[in-house]
Amino acid sequence: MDLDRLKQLHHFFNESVGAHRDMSMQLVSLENGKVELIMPFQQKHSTHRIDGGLHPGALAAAIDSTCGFVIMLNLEEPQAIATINLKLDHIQPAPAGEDVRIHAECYQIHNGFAYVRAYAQDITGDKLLCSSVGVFKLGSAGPDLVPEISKNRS
Amino acid sequence: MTTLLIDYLQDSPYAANYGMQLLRTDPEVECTTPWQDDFVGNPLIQAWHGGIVTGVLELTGKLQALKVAATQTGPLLSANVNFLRPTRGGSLVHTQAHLVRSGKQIININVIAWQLSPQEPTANASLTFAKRLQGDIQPT
Repeated sequence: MDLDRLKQLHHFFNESVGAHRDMSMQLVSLENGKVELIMPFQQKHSTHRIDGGLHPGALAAAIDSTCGFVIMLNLEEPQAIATINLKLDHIQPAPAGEDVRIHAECYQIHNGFAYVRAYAQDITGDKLLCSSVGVFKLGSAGPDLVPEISKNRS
Repeated sequence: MTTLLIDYLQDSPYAANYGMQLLRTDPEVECTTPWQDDFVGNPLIQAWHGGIVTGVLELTGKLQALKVAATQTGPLLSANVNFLRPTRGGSLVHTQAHLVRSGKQIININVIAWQLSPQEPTANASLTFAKRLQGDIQPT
């Protein structure tokens, strides 16, 4: 998918779709089939009221979203994607009160499935927080996203 | 013991934000999480976001780990989540944990999520938690 359309897709999800709007992830880069997003720290997504970092579940949601996004980057046309399996290794806690970086790469699309690896780092990029691999079904049950995105292009 | 679990749900902003309710702790931890508009992942089929489902499974597993190991419960090390059916928006999700093993250093817990019946799970997770040794203090 071309980059302008992908940015439009990101904007559409961030503005209109509950979980994506709630996370408000910021697009950092789209290069060589890879995506980098920033998950902003929000108190409601933290582990503790005082000195809490982003909860592992919040990182999981951010990684799942980023995986879907990088798959779109590797498709000709946007289509519904369903997560089939997500494996997450939580290596160390997210630093208290800090945003995190999420990187994702779709390394294979085969027979209607997309295979993605992703990881979360602290905002400096020095600490690996979480490493993940996922399998996603393309063209899953439900209408394609194409009509909705086309409608939003006008 | 139940007080410890309820305190965790109330004290963790992430858990409190999800509105998860603890139904029972015996024989296993069972919870419900009501639907919120902020949970939608796909706007056209109104399904729960896969990452939110993962978070609910992880929280349920955490409560089971607290039930088993109390203050010795360490951080979540690993999660392997299978998405078995669409988790439909507009409906709450039930989750139930099952303790696989509590060893000296590791706690293994399986969790299933369902909407209509436990015989039709929408997702399951295999979770691995660390166990803290006495005197070992680290953030969860």
